Amino acid sequence: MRFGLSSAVTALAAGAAVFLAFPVLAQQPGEPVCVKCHETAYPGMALTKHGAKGDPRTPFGSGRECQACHGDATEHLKNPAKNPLPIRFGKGQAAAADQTQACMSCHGGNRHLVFWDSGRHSRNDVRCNDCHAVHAKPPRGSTMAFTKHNPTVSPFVTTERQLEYETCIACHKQTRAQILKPSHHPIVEGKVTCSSCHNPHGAQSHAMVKQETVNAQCVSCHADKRGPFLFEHPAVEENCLSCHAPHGSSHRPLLNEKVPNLCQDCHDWSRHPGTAYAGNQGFPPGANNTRFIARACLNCHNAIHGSNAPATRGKFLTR
Amino acid sequence: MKAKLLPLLIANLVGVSTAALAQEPGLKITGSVGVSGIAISEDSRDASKLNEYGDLSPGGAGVFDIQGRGSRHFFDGFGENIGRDDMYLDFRGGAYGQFKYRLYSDWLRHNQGFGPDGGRTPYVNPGESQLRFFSPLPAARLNSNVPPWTAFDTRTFRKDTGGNFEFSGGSPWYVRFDANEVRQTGINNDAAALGTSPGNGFIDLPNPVDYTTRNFIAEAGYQAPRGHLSVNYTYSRFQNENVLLSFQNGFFGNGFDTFTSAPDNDYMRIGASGALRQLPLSSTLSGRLAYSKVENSADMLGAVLNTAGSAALVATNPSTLNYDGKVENTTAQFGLSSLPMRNLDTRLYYNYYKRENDSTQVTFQTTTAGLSCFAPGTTGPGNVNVFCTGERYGYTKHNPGFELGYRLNAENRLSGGYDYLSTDREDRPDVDKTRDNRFFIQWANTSFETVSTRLKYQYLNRSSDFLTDDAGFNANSPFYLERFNRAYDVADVDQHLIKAVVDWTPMPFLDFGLEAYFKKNDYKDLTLGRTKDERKEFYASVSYGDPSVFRVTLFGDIEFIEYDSYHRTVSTVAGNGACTAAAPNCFDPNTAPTAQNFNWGSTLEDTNWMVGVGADWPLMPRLVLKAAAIYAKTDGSVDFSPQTLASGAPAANLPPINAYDNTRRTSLSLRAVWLADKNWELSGGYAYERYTYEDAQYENYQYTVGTGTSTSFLSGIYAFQDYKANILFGTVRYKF
Repeated sequence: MRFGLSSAVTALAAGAAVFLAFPVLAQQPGEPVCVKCHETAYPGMALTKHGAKGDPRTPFGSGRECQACHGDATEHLKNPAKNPLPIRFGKGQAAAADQTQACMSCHGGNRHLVFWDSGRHSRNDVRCNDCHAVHAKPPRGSTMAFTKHNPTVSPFVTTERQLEYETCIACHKQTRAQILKPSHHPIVEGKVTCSSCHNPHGAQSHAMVKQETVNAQCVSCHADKRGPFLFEHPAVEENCLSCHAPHGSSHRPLLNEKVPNLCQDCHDWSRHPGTAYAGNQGFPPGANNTRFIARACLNCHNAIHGSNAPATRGKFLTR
Repeated sequence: MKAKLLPLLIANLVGVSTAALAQEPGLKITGSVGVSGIAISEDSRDASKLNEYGDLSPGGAGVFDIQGRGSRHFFDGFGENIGRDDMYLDFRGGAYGQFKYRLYSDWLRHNQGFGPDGGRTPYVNPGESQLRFFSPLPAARLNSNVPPWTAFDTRTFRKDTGGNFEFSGGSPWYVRFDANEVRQTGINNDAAALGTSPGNGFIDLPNPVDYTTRNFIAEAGYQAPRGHLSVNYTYSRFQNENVLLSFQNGFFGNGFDTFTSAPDNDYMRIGASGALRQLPLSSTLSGRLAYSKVENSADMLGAVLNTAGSAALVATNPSTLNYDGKVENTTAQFGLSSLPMRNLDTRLYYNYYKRENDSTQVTFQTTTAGLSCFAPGTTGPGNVNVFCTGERYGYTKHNPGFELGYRLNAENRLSGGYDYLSTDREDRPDVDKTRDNRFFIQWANTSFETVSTRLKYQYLNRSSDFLTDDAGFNANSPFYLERFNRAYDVADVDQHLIKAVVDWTPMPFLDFGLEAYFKKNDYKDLTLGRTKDERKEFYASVSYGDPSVFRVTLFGDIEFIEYDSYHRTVSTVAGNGACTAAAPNCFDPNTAPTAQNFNWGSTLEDTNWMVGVGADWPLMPRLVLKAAAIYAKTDGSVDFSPQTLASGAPAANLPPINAYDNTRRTSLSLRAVWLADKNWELSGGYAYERYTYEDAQYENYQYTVGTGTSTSFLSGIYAFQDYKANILFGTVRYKF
């Protein structure tokens, strides 16, 4: 199913109209004096909201310029080598809380930062500039630049955007491997971001999940799993993570363990639930056991998240 | 939001924004427009895995990006893959300090099986709501060569279109609206048992998907550095155009059976959240309250197919034909973060969760075989047929805890905490109360200028009150097994978790990263079920180079996962489910094993590893080369250990499974970006992908299994995932 050609042309024409309607203007004068030495620090920032001169809330709109974040530069300008800036950012500089406070002095009231103090990042000395490249020009497809110290290491994907996960995995290293597993959310493909589920700016929930519970988070996208269902699966209703590994798994669909083993770790009963499905149960020359081949338990018990079917059809999740 | 309206809206919005921008001094517009293209050569029986989330079909697409910066207004637009199934459009703008908005449309395809090899069916009309066989004769349907079997693709298209608008007018007060519509269309590959017994076979069902989810969020609040307070309202409606799937069932005389899919539902949430800073002891008090409700209605099926060889419907006798689902969630979360003394930070928190299920209680008043549920007998070990009744699962959770962090000096920080979680459940038959105690301690060190380390240990103890200690009349009753079986999500457990992270920069532009993770769960006080699981993962990376000159990153990761479990096989029982006279006490795991009734253990192991390298090389001022390569391997296996009979022989021949989601993936990507001049940018490259899949559940795959009316019909989904592909791609872009 394709976006109509006429629609695509309209979208491109809209972009072209902007270009054609307005002449490209040369860069405006009025760069901060700091640029004389720190010449790479300003051009990118000028394209961000920090560089918006018409906004009195911003460093360059308020007139404080670089001093809004780095402190009073009077002494530094007199003798840069001898007098460093009062506030410098990065590892080995001021305490993380002090660096963060420079940002919070303006952004502390932002709705995204309501729970900053409750979050793991705050308590683990993560600084704003660990993730946000404040001086950098936003890459295509982004309105702000995130830190990205290393080249992209991913399979071919059809997006050219710099993706959020590339910043997060700098610290959350093993997650890089998880999201590259055979069964994965489309994170590398750019269709799901870390912040789709987590609030990196802090949250009240464990693992900084945005919603109150894991299940509330999952059904915010997977609305077909909201139910309610007449016949429920208790493990499903309490915690999706009982069965699923949302970052990635070698067992589709994002299962912690392969079926039937996953199911049998809870369900034991006479005959087929308690039967061992071993290496001789597959397609011929194996026993062609329908409880093992293909999707195993899910061949029959496919309504695994709940069912409104009647009687045993619903109770056993077979319809 | 219809696709044709979207570009009109975008064009109008752009027009509005540009009109505003045009009147501003200091205006600056930058951006680019271009076209991109893909050419691909692939070798596969089923290319769905290659195309799982992306549109790799050969062809072109549009790309653009625009940034407008004025003294008072700003505007950003971005679009890629325009004209393709993974299109992404994003428009943002606003007036500084006054308002901001966003419009977007994000398309995603999820492919899981391409016909005919990865998708075929004996139904003539896959993806329709009433599936019909091409032939009424079971024997005729056994020939799965396409045609007359029908090929289909298991794929869904997800289109998420929406936007938001936030207005503050330069004041600390704000109001914000979010709205989006998610449309999902396509075919899911569901499945259903054919008869009433596991031996009656199953059939894969190409089930039509036509979901629409509309979400609306309104939020108003006050935001200031000292504090924040907001209230919000969320409404979401999920609609499924195909709640019931009718399908011919060969086991029941080719009558039309019914599969139930996700019902329509309405979700509503009201919430309030806030934080108050600069309290005594440098404290911040934060909290969030939320109440949500999800409701739906469904018609109960009053009759179903239930007689082998017959299309006659048998009554299910529901106590009501109308099911009204209603689940309410109430949560309250509070936290107090403080700095009570120098170098000491604390956090106290309390979370409350309550799930109440007030759905209609429906009972199917039939004891007809195949339709009745069963309960443990009270006067004998045999099962008793009882009516099936719906479940209404609920819980209440209390979760207090605290964390302390002490900075020994500037380079060392010790932290620790305790978390208690108490869960009381309703309507869960095996357990009603669970208590989790979790402790952690962590040490973070930056003593050396070039090294930072973090080491964490966490211990979790869980205990539950089980309701099944007296289950079953005696050891001849299947319910007796419940005395020994524990579901791992509630089983008593001791968990140990260790995590270590090291980052080392011995010299400028050279970085090493190491991460080790170990987690082990020992499940206690059980005989049957998962007894242990363990996960060990080691990650290492090295990066070298000045990003402005040359930068290369190499990483490796290896992971070992193990699940141990113990089970009981009881092969032969009497008609009422009890043990036969020849094998008494068959449901007691302590009974001496026989070839029919025995215990067995299994160990499932996953070993996954991958290595990858990536490089960015600004070869010349106008030429950048980018390269990436990844090799990833997953290996799964299962070993079995049955009990030993008195003769010394194992109770059963349980050969190991040596291929359990074994995959190999090789990815290579080379890209060059050339700035021909200040206006023209050309990029292009080559990618290679190879993927192999081996699994005992799919080896020697067949589309039909069994005979007669108990024949199972498989579609081929996931069976032929191997692929090899060579991809050429390029983009021509004009920058302004």
